[in-house]
Amino acid sequence: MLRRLLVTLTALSALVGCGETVDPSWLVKYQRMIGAVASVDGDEMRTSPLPGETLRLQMIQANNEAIEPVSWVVIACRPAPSTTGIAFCEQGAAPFTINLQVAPTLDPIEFTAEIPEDYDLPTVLFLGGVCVGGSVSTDIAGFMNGSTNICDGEGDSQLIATQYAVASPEDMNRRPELGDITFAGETWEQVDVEGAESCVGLDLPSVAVEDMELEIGAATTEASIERFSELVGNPPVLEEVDERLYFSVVTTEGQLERQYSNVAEGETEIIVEWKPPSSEDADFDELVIPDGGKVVRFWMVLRDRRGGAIATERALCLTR
Amino acid sequence: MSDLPLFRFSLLLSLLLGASTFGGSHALAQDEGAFGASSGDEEEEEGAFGADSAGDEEEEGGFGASSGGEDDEAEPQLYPPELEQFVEAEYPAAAREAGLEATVELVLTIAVDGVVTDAQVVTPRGNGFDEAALDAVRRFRFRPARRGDEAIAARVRYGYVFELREPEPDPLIPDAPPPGRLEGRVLAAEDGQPIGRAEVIVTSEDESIARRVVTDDSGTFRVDELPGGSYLVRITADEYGGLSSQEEIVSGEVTDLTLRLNVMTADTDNGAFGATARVDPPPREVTRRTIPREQLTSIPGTRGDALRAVEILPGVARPPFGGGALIVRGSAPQDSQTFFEGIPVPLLYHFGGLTSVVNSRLLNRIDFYPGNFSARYGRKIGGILDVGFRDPLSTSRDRGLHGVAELSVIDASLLAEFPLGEDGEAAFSFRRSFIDVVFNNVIPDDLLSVTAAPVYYDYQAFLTWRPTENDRLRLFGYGSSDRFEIIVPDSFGDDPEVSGSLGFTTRFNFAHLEWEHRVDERTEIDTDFQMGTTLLDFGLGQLISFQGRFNQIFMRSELRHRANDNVRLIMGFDSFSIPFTLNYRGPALDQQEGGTRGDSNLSGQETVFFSTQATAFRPAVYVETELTLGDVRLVPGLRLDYAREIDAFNFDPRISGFWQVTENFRLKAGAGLYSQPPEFQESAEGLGNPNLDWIHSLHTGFGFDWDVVEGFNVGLEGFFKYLWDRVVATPGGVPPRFDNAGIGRIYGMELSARLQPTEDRPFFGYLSYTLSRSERRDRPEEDWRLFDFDQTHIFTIAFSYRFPRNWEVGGTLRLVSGNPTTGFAGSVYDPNFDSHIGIPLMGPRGRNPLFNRLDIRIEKKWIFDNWRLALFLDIQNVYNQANQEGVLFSYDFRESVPVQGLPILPALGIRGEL
Repeated sequence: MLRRLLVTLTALSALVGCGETVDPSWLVKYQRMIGAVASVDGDEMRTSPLPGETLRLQMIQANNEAIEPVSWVVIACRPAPSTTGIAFCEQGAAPFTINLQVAPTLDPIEFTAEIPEDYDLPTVLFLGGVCVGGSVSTDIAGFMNGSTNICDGEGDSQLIATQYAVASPEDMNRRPELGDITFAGETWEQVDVEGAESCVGLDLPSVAVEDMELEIGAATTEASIERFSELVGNPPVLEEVDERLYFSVVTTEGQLERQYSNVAEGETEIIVEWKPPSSEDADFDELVIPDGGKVVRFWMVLRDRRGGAIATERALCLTR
Repeated sequence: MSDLPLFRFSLLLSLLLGASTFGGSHALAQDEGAFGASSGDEEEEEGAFGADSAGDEEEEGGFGASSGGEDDEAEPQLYPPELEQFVEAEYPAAAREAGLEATVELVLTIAVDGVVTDAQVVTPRGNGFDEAALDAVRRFRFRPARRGDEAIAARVRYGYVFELREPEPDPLIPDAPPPGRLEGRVLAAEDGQPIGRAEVIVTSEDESIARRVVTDDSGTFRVDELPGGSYLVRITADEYGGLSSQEEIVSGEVTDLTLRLNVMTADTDNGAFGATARVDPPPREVTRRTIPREQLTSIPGTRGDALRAVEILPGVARPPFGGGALIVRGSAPQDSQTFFEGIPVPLLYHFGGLTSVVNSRLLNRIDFYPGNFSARYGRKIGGILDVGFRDPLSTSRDRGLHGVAELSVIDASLLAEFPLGEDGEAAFSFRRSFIDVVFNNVIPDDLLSVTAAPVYYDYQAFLTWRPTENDRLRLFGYGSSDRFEIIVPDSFGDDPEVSGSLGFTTRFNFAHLEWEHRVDERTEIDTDFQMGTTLLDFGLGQLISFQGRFNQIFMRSELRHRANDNVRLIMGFDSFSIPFTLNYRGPALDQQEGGTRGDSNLSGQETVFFSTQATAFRPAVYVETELTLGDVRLVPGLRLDYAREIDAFNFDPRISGFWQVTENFRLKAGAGLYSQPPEFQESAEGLGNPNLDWIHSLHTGFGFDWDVVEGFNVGLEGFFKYLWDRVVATPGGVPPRFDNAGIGRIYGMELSARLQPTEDRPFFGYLSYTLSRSERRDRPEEDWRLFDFDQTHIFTIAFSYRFPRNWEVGGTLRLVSGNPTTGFAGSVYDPNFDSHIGIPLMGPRGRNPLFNRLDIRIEKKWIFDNWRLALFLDIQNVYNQANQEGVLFSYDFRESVPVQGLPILPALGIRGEL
């Protein structure tokens, strides 16, 4: 809670123009994961498996440069009883799935959990990590005991611990759908920009530094907002409620108004402002814009807070 | 014949020609022509005065009205001067030893302002009587003689009687128990300088006993041979306002008073505000630190808030951001307790430390016990802060309406005091903040929707009534409210769950009845009863919701009995019963100190629901004995507690010892057990573990107090505390969530030096230094770690200097070790909620850099006839030091920046006192 206090105080300090602050989480400065799209084998839109089914996680990566090859080791196991903090596997319980990719690869990062038929816990735990730019260590026992170094030698170690709900037949979550993405009021199409060093040859919207704020729009569908049973209020009462979707966006340049936007009740659209780099920015002098313009990338994820997520990527061209 | 003479002043004041019991016509010739009116029309004045006298020759001649010729019938009525202020003469020592008595006849010249401008001995008596009488009468103050409504100069004859008197049997004490003694000092409230030649009149309640003494140059006075009982003590001095105080004199004991008077000269004011600091009987605690309230309210950086100044005392750590947490001798904030008149108070400061919830001008005392405290206090293993309120009008020089209004950039307050009949007084105070106005203009509208801008208010109301000479009743109510709520439509920061309604409300209202009853000369009973309600409401988006309503009923009764000169017995009980409702929805709770689970986003954490209606009941009995064995005093005590929520008793023995080595040097030591029940949420079934035990600690301390010279004292104390059965979270927070596996150790030393103002020293200085180390071990298999607020060095020096023309300038400098910090080895990513959970680094913790800050305060007063005005500027962090209060980590714990404390913060205020 102290950290929450510090974050809030620092944010308030920044608002009134004083105090240092750290890079915002919406600014991508190195290759990292920004989410995962879950699906059940045989029912791609479902995110909560039944016992005996296989849950598949496809990790979403973002980078301010070309994506580097990665390796990973992630196990699926029964989570130990815990109320908060980092989850660990139940003591003495062997993992029921081991996802191991020792050799670095540019393939999508994907983990699976084959849920045992007799599985009796409400969640399944994925525990392990990704080594960006190197090979993972195969010391699985070490990971289970909380080792923080996932790489065998060089590479950027990024640990993962996440739990996904195991469904009951009456409550099976499906992931939301992402509708049109707009930029400055115009439809914004996805373009493959992976590895591009400039905008040359790419059909991207163009903006110049020092431009005014521009709006990024995203939409979902009404059908994406599922109703489900949740404990509401205090003392809690089990009620049928709508999912509360939220949209996150990260980028490689400029200033985002915020990273997370809640889809308001009765709405299906959200708007986030993005401001191109300007001379007011502290690191503006370090900005290098090649001839032909610099590709600025955006990654967007829509989550339903119940394990369902869908992601997409967009790009634009930044010029002087 | 007694060697304790009782002075009896003469009532033989008369005009020269007036019929009196003293004086006579033989002195008339000396007075002829001696008068002059303030108008300068000497002849007219002389004639007029003489013509208005009794009409015989002696009167005319006596006033030198030789010009005569004025029409008697045309002259307005003449009134003689009246003695308003008597000054007691020093009885000549040689004469007293020789058993001599005398009456010195004098002629006094009294100017139109009532001042004695000349005094001549008419009938010399020798043996030092003449000089003593002259010295005294020259300081008399008269209501001047008048002709009609016009003041005129006058000359009078006066007989000053020196008389030794046999002590009379005291009707109040048939068995003649040993008499008591009242002694003390009279000081100027402005600067603490002694007031010499102040008149002290001590009157028993039935007025059968009346004594008058005059303070010496050091402001001290002493009244001996007072039978036990209640006395009215009235003080008056030439340039100062008066002061009345009701005091209890105990047979065989010395009651020591310090009384402070406000300046009241013809061209200044009426001294609307002063303070009485009563010096209590010798302490029962090894360490009790008290700074007079007048000095506490002038500590720079506090905006005049006496309770904010507590943190300059030795043993008190500095909370981050200047917050209000009371961190005493390495104990967690929840291990210490603040009391109002012996009853726990739920909240001491508004908004976590901005300003205290009571008006400092209503305080009578602030007693701070950093450890080894009396058995009177229990259920806490840290320190105790006990705040006492004064009676309404107790610092006022008269029983009229008095008040103080204060306005600053943060809040405004009003205090009014007034009499209720002859035996009662009342006071009321109210304060409200202005932060909402500032807040609405600083926070961007498009970022936050403010539904309730930060607002606080508090109030206090007092009624005092003395139905009999042995009873004093006081009813007071007090309350406080803090509220703040904003709506964040979208997430704020790097946590997607921090959105929605964010806010909190804390509110309490209490009624407190206090009854002091004197059973007999040796026995008294104090009883306190308080009831009220505390409301707590806290919400953070969809994830955290906390509502608590606590109906609190407190009772305390203490009997004090002096068995004989060497044994004093104190017995008491205190209990509180709290029917409460509690609703909580949010993440599972972490341990209160040393937990690391808070260093992660809220999203993805398991939600705990808790709802209960229950009654906490915690009764206790205690007994304490004060044994005096020559220069040594021992205070053993026992305390038995019960906590219903964990259904467990607890027994704590304690002992303190004092050795008065010399008149100015005292050694002290103490040891004892101190225990505390777990917090409600830790022992509540469903949220915590109802099978928890009491938390225990051993306090030991040893030190000395040394009055080096007058007004300068030094104290040094070493201490060691060991803690066991600390409540800590289970690994992973799994049920039962908490257990008593934690231990702790704290040790260090505290130095304090205080320089008080004196006649030659118009400044106040206070230095405190604490060297300590506080460590914890949460589980047997873990290593010792530093306490979250461990501060190795805490150095504070505060001073204030009073310049002429009512300017006062002061400063407070603080040098404090930085709090320990927690580093992170990295983080674990949860893609489901897009959150990172930090992995704390093992091993030694780092620290924030040394904290250093200078605060200054400048105050200027303007003093008018019936009121005064003060303008003050209180500047925190004068040189805008960027002190690091913590470390902020980025969302992925790879990057960090220091979090800085408050920048330079000036606060301008204005205060009017009636």
